[in-house]
Amino acid sequence: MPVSGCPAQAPGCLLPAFPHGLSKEAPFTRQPQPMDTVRIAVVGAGLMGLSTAVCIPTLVPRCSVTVIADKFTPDTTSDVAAGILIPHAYPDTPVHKQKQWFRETFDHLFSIANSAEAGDAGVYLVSGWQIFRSMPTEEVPFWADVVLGFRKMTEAELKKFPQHVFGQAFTTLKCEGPVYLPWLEKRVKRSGGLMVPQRIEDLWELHPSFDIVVNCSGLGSRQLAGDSTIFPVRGQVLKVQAPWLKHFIRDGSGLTYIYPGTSNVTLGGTRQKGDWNLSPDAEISRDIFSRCCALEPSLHRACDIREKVGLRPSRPGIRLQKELLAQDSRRLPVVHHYGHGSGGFSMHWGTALEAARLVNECAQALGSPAPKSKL
Amino acid sequence: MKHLDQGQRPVGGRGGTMRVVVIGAGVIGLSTALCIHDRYQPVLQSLDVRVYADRFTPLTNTDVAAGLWQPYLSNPSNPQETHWNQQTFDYLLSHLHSPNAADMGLALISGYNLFHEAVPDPSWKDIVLGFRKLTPRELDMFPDYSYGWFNTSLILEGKRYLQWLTERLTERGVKFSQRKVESLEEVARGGADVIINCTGVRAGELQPDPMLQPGRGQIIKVDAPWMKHFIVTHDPERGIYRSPYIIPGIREVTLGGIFQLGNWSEVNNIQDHKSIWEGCCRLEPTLKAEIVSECTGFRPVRPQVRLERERLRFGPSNTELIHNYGHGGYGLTIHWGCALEAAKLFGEVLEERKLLRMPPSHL
Repeated sequence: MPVSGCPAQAPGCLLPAFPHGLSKEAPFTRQPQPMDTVRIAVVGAGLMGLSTAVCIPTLVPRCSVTVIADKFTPDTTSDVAAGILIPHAYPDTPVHKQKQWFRETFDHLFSIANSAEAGDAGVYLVSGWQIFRSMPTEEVPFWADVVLGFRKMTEAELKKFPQHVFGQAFTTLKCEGPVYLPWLEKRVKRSGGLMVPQRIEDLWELHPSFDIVVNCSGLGSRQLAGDSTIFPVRGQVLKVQAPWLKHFIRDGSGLTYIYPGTSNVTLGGTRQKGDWNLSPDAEISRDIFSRCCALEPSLHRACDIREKVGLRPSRPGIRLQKELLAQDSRRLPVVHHYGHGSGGFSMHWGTALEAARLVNECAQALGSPAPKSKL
Repeated sequence: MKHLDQGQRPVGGRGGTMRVVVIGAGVIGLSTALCIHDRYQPVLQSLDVRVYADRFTPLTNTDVAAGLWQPYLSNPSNPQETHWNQQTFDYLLSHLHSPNAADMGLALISGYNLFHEAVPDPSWKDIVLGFRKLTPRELDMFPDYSYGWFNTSLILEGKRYLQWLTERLTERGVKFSQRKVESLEEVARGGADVIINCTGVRAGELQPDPMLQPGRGQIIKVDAPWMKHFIVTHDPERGIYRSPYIIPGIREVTLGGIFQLGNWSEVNNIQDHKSIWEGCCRLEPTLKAEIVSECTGFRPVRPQVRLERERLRFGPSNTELIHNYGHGGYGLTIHWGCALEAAKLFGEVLEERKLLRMPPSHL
């Protein structure tokens, strides 16, 4: 019996991850587990679900991980985001925690960016500027010493942006969803995890097949966790071809931005609270393009413009919390890991590690489990 | 151009008529042609500019260059070169904000210069943007190096820029002629009033110049679109361009690190290939990239740029010659400043020949 990590799966038992299709039949088939394997279900296959699924086996001895979601990459919210590591401030989360999670995420991705895996993982360095039309209240943000080479822009640099009076220059990381998520999926599978395309309507569906549930369902938590504090902030972006752009440009509050990627440049954006509409709006696209061209006139030559929409799972603070669901005599430990709003990529590894620690606490609390009913 | 008998060439006359031949169609030839045309066409009755070359883009040395604006680290022996570098940077920077920037092959790029030990700041530190030293965490990315700089500079892709210059010149009626010029005399006798010699590394074929030598370079172009920074390493013991460098262009990334004085071999060399590939992969472990192409070029190396006038005498005729060659590995970096200087020298020729149209109040 393995002392730590997950037992390997026989190939025939691995279900492929389907991007489409919701199957209600034979939901959670897998090879029968040794008696004391902790069976963990991760609900949600976006950035949080997958990174938590990668972290869990490193902390929890003798576990099996099954990721269950209705959407997989490239159809998740995480696939729309540009993935630039510039933190978003959460009013309800202490700053020292935000800084810790950002630092953990940055350091983790930084080592990937400098390795041979960088291309496969879609993680790389990018430099650029954050510019302000009026002096910001905070000239040096809490994350200044986490990114590289943070400094004020010089007068000569600011000449590029005649409407702006102040700016910060630094080097950070970009983590590209459509490449990073499949890479995470591979890592999950390599350590024995399963991907199951299935829409969960109620967390109790996972009982008794699973011992612990990790809820990474983002906006789905309105229903699955009865959380009315989470709401969508709609973001529309354009993905364009402009390979000559090598720097990011983020305007003040972050409403307008230009983030160069490996295969396209992301232009944004919008912040529409409470808007659930996933269809792109042509008027908004024109407005985004015009705002970005004002910052970077060479964008007038951009081509192959595609529109995308994502609904940021916004919340006053990230929910990282254990909850023991109880119904009659049934008990279901849940670890909530959702609500990252605009800051998912910036915080994901730090919060995934914390979620995995909480899962481990639940696993320890399970003690020696009673015999499980057969699947 | 009319072919005139010897001794019957009119000298200027009532209006100013000028026949200019630019020899060489690399960045120096084409930018000088454009600079002279735009400055003097309005003030001459007639200005006929032609470009003669045996090689045009994509077969020139300019096409091989990575295109990073960066002078040598040490101060040039001719202090004017610093001024020409600055003029070029400012000129290119002013074009950055136009929608045409990408058409010109022009883009801003930031990156790293790496050293094995502390070095003094370069003379161009205030020309580039945001120049600073590297922090310890940044240096951790490059374990073979212990000191370095970060700054924002410009990329000017040779091939795209030459195409853009060609389009601008064609719009202005400048004619191109593909031919191998065997001698300056041949061009002079063909009716040229002024010859601009932009023949680069092969200038010695027209007029022996023992100070001019080829600095052979070989580069590999790869497809690595996640690379957004240039990385240039330096090894003072080996000399400039003999240490690995990685320079992203608009679409492809140039890998290099070869500099061989006196080597005229145009063939890609397998040892050089290995040296470049191993050096760059060691520098940048993410470089598991597809090789797109590989080529060889010859930097026109000279202790300083030859930018000066000379008078040719073939029989009774006087032909003015302006030399503009020998820009080493920094041709793109310095080209516009040199074009302006060549245009200034051309202006002197016009004044001497009293060809510049005088404003009405002076008549």
